[in-house]
Amino acid sequence: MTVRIDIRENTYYDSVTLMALTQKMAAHPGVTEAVAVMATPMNKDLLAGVGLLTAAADAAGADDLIVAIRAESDAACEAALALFAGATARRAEDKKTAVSFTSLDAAVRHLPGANLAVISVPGEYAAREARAALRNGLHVMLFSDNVSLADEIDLKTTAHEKGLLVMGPDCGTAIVNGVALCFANAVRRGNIGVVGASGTGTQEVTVHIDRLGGGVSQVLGTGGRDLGAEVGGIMMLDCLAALSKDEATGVIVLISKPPAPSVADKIVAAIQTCPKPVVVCFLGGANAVGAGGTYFAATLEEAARAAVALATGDKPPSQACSHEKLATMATVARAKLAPGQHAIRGLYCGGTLCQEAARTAPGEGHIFIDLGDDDYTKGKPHPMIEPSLRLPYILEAARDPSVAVLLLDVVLGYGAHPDPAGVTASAIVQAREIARAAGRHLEVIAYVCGTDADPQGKAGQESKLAAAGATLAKSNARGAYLAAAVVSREV
Amino acid sequence: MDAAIGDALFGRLFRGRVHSVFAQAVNFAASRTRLYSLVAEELDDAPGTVRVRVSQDRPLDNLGIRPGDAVISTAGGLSCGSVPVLAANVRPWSPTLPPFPSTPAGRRRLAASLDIFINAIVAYGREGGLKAFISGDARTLIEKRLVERAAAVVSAFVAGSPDEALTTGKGLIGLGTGLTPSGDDFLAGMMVIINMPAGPFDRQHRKVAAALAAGAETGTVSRAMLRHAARGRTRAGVVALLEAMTDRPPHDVAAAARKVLCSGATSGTDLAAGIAAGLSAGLELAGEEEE
Repeated sequence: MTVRIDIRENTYYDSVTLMALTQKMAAHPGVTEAVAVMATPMNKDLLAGVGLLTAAADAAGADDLIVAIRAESDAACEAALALFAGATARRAEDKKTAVSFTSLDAAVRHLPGANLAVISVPGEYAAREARAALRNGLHVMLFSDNVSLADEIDLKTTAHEKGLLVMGPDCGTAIVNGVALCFANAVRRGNIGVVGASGTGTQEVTVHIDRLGGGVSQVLGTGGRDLGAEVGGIMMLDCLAALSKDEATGVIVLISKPPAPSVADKIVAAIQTCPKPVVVCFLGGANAVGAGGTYFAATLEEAARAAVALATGDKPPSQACSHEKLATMATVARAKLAPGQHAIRGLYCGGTLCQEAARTAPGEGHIFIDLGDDDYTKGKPHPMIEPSLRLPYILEAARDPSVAVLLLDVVLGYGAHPDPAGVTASAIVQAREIARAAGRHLEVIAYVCGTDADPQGKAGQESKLAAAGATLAKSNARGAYLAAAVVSREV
Repeated sequence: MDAAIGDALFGRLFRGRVHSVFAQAVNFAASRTRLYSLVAEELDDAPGTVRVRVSQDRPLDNLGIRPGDAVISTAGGLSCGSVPVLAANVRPWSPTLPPFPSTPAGRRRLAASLDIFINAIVAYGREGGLKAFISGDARTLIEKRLVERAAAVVSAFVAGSPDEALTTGKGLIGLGTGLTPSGDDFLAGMMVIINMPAGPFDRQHRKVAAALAAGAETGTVSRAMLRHAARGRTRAGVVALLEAMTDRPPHDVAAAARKVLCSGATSGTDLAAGIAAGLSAGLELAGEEEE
C-alpha cells in the first residue's frame, strides 16, 4: 500500500465539493482510502487514526487543505491526486470564463435575446424567481419542487395571459430547439412534438421515437399537477396550442398520468380542434382511436410507435406489441422459482416508469417503489443522479423469500449519473447470490431508458447489466409484462 | 452591517488583508482573531459582516479582489483591493436573541417547535456532517466520529460537567470537511442557545463556551464564527428562527428552519443540528429545575 499526501496552502472549498471529489477519488481503481479535509488538529487526528497522517500533513496549518490517498500502487495514488487537481483546476477555469449573475434581472440585461429561464432554487424561493422571469418576458422551466399549488395556479394563469409557458413546477425534462434541459436524452431531431406531465414518461417516449427512427421537434413539460382539477391543465392546453402552430411539428404526443375527468374533457375537446394528429398516453388506458383522429396509446412505447408511424404518413399499428417471445422467456424463468416465490419487487428511479410497471402487476403482494419520490429524496440526491441509493433496497428484496422478480429501471441522459448500470451491477450479482444461497432463483429484469448517443451509452450500460445476470427488456412496458408473466400462473 | 464592528472599520484607521474570496463573500482580517466579511446584500446580516450592494452583473469573486490584497480606510469608508465600500451606505444591525421560555407553557411551545425543526433538518438537511446526529444515519468515518463526539459534548453540558464539556468540546473543534468544519458549526449552534437570555444554562456553561472559542484550533473563518457564537452573536436567520420557535405559528418555524438549512454547503445543517441539540438540552435542564 502506498500513501500520498497533497497539501494546498490557504485553499478553501465547500464541504459538498470536497465530499464529491473524495467519493470520485475513492472510486478510482486501486484506491482504498481518500480524504480531503482542512488541516485542523482534529482532522489530522482523524487522518492519524486511519494511518494517513504523514509528517507533511502534520505540519500543515488549519487554513490548509490536505488531500490524502492510500492506494495499491503509486500510479493509483497519482491518478487519484491528478483527478482532484484536474477537477479543481477546471473549477477555477470555469470561474474565470463563466459569466454568473446575482439576479435574474442582471442576467436578462446581459443576454437580451434570451427567452427562457430554467429555475432550480429551493421551492420557497422558486415562485418569486418564476414571477421575475415572467415579468421579464421569459418562458419558465421550473425544475424546483415544493412550490405551493396556489403559486402554481397563479404563475400559470399569469403566463397564459402573457402568452408564455411555465413548464413545472417539478418539471425535469424538456428539449427546446434541440437543447436538452435538465434530465433529457440525446435524441434525434424531427417532426414529433411531445408534451409531458411526467419526466421519465417523456424520456421513455422520446427514446423510443429515436430508436424507431423518428425525431422530436420540441419536448415540453408541464409538471405533474398540471392535469389535476385545481390547475385544470392550463399548460398542457397552452403547449398543445403552441405545438399546433409550430411549423416544425407534424405530430403531437401528450403524456400524463390519468387526468382529472373535467381536465380530460377539456384536453380531448382541444385535440379535436387541433389541425395535426395527436397521440395521447394517459397511463392505464387502452389502444384506441378516438373522435377527430385522436390516437390513445396504452403504454409509453405504444405512444412512440403511433407517433412515428403518423410522422411518416402511416397509420398507427392497430395491434399492441407482440409478447409471444416474452411469454416463452417467462415460462423458462418461472420454472426456476422455488415454492413461495410469487412477488414482484419494482425498484424504480423514474416515477412514471414505476407507475406504468405497477399497473401491469397481476394480483396482490407486489411492491413497487418510486425511489425518486419526495419521501425517499428529502435531503438526498435523486436516484437518477446517485443510483447507489437503490442498492440497499435491491439487497433487501433479495433476502425476501416471497420475491420472484426484481424489476429495475436504469435511466440515462444528460443530468443522470455517468454510470448507473456500473453502480447497480455489483448489487445485482450480490442479490442473485443471496437468493441462490437461500435455495431460490431471483429473476432480475432491467430496462435501460436511453439511447446510444446519451453520455452513458445505452449498449455499454446494457452489457454491464447483462453481465451481472439481468434479463434486459426492450421497453419499460415489456419489462413489466415479462415480470408479470413470470409470477402469473395463467400466462 | 454588524453595529459592533462599525467603529473598528469606519471609525478609525483600518489596515487588513483579504483572507478569502467567494462569489457572495470576501473575508478580510486585521489580525489572527479579527476577521470581517463583506457579503452580498442578498445574504443575512451576520456578526462581523458588512452587507454590500455590488453590481448585479459582477459577483464578489469577479471584481478582481485577491487573497492578500490590502483593505484600508479611505475618506468615505474602506477600500478592499480596488473596490470601495462607503460607510454612508451601510445600516447598523445587532443580533438580539429572544429569551428562552420561562413558563411551562412557553417551553411546551418550544418543544413543539423543536419537533418541527428536527423534522425539517431530517427532510431538508444536507448529509456529510452532523445531520447524522439528528437522523441517526452516520455512514462515513467522519460522520461517525462527529456524531460520537457531538453526543459526548451534549451529555457533558446537560450533566453540568464543565471540565468534561471543555474536553469533549475540544474534540469536536475543527472536525469535518469544508471551510467551517462540521464540528465548529455544531458547537456554534449550541453556543448560541447557551447564550439565550433567561435560559437554563448558567455562567459555567457560558465560560466553557468562551474557553472553547478562545482556544479553538481551527481555520480562521471558523475561529471567528466561534468567538461570536460564544457571546451569543449569530446571523439574522438564526435569530429569526429562534424568534419563530419561541413565539410564532408552526409554518413560520418551518420556513425559518429551511432558510437556516439553505445556508452554506453543509454548514446550515450542522449549525441547525447544534441549535437543535442545544434547545433539547435546554428543555431537559429546564424540566429538571421544575421538578
